[in-house]
Amino acid sequence: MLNAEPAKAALAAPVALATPTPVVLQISGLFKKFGLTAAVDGIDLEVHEGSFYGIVGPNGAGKTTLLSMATGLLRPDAGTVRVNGVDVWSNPDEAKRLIGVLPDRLRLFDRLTGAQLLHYAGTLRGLGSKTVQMRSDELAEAFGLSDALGRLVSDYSAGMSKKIALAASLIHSPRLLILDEPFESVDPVSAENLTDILKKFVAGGGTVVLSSHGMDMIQRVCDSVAIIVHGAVIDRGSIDEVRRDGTLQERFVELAGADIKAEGLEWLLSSSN
Amino acid sequence: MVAELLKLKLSVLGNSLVRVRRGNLGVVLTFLFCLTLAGATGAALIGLRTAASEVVRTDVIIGGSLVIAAFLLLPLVLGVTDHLDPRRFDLFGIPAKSLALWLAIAALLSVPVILLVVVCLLTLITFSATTSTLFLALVSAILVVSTCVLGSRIAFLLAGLFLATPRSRETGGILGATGLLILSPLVVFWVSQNWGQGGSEVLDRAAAVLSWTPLGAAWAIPADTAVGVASGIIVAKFLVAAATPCLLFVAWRALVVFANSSLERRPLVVIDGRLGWFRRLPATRTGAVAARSLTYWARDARYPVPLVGVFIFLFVAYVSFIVVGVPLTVLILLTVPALCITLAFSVHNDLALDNTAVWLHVSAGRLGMPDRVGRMAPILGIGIPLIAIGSVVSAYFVGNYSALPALLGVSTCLLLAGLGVGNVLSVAFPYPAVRPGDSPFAQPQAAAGSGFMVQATFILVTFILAAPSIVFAVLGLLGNLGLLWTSLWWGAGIGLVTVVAGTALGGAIFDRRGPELLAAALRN
Repeated sequence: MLNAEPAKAALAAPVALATPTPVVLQISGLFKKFGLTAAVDGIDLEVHEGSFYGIVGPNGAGKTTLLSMATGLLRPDAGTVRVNGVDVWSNPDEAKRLIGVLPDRLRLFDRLTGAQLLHYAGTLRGLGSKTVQMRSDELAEAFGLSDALGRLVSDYSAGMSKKIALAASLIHSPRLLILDEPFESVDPVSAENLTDILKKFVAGGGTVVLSSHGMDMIQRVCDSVAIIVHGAVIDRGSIDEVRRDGTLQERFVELAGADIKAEGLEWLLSSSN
Repeated sequence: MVAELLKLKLSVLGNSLVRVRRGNLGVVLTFLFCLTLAGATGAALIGLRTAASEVVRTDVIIGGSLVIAAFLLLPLVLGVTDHLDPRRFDLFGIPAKSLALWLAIAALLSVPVILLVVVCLLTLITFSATTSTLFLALVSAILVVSTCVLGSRIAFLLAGLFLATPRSRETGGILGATGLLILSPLVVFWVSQNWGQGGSEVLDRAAAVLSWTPLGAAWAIPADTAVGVASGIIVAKFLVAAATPCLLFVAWRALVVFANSSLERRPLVVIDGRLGWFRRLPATRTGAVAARSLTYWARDARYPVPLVGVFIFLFVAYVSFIVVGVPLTVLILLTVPALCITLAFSVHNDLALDNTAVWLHVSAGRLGMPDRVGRMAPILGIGIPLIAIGSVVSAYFVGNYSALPALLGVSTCLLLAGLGVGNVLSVAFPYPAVRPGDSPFAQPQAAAGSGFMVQATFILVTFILAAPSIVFAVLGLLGNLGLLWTSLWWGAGIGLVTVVAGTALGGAIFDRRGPELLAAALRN
């Protein structure tokens, strides 16, 4: 399922660099306030089909809030989110069919076994029994979870829970994947494996939007990136445009670290006594 | 090393006293409970000094057997932390056989054992009439204390070894609480018997049997002597009583060796490679939610436990009603309807039990109706057979089959209307519930009390909807037989309409307020 029409994708890839593909995710004027602070303060974002889009930002910048609103899990105070032209908030059913979601810090139905959770996610998305079975097996194989399918998800490690949740988000073959911290607590080998799966998905015409703290990972994997600080996008574009001459890490620290200075803490220097 | 262990145990004991001083409610209550128990027993034992020796014999043997049984059984079910678990000391490299002995000695310094020693010393007063009984009471006390200490050590370790997973621990705790509650009327009955004035013949016979078992043999030594039983029999009972702690010690030592040699054994729990309910039910959205609910009812104690709690409450209420003198027929007729509304009650906040996992339902889009319908599966799966079988059984016991339609009507109405009302309340007014993975007895972290209004609304609205059926049923039972059928039609009609309307409304609310429901779960 994942490597559907690889030949066509291979042809499409160079084109994607030349002329912009259609916009898959269009976020405009998105705004959300918690109490007195604006967690997301009027964000506009366009993600094109077949792109691998990274969202980075310091802790508390509003990444999770932004992605939750984009997936229809958190109602925005203002602004619109469109997926393939379908408004997520006025026509949620059609839009949600197109999106695969991996939320951060939300529970799973973890008293199910891995196999049951995949089956549940697939069936809730309206897939038939045979399709679900086939895709579950393939996904488990691809994510290296086959041996763990008979165990309760509550007994999984944090990394395995991420993987099973990611597998569940793919099962209905969405056009757009929105992943909040997909690599958190995933070991390096599995992260490499996840990246391969996601690259395949993109090569097949899918689109990935993900948030991460791993700048190296984003720089290596994504083609575009947006840096969010205090609920606003302060830079965006292709990786090369954003990072300029340095690494993404350096550019990120330069932009996001502007208001964080290591002043004070002088007592740390005299820590020998 | 024994001294070190005793010191350790002493500081554990001291620390729990600190918790008493700080007013830790659980510890204080346990402490008061133990003190009251020991005080009452002590007073009874001193009072027995002047009683007829046959009476003393019965009371001491039965009471004493209960004490030893408690030491053997309570560690299995209470689920308390055992500070003297031999596995905790494995890293110190003490030979397992010495460790077994030392731990048994250190176990003397625990609140229950100290209270036991006090009680045993009080039996010396009971048997202080002659020197020989006094001496035998002392022997008996030593045997009893060693039996209790070793027995409870073994029970603790067995519980730790084989009931150790959190899930079975919960189950054990529930079973224990249930057992205690069901036993409590018995204990009350026994305590309310006239102490020292000769119980029934049943008790005398029970004591005679128990005196040959490890539970009662030790107590029987001075008690039988006081009565004047043949010395051969007393020697035989002494052998039983003395062999018990010896065998227990051998078993304890073997168990310690086993426990510390099998420490690394922690097998991965493989539930099942197959899909269980997901395979058995149709692979539709509704079917999937139903399969998930059924799986959770079987695997997650938070679902069945409140129900078990209510069943126990009903049982206790019935016992007290019977004591007060409410006719049994009324109680039998009330049973099935009471269980039905209890079952329906469990949907009124079902969404909150998912906690934030409900995002999966929100992100699936337009899942309202399947969600509402699917979650009723376990309730209907229990409720429908309950109504069908329970009503017939009730009618049989009352000896009045003409009451059957009314029973069916009221029960059906309470179950279905309750489900309808609950389906709306659950999505309209979710309130914090016990989190996944927490003990079903734990309190939710968020502000308490928010659930009270929802619960009250559920009960009030459900009873208003069931009122016609109930009124016709009562009138019918009072003599107007035609109304019994009227009760059925009204009950089934209102029930069906409510469940359909409530489910549809609940589903619509879910679709509209999905993100808000997730936000509410995030606040929990």
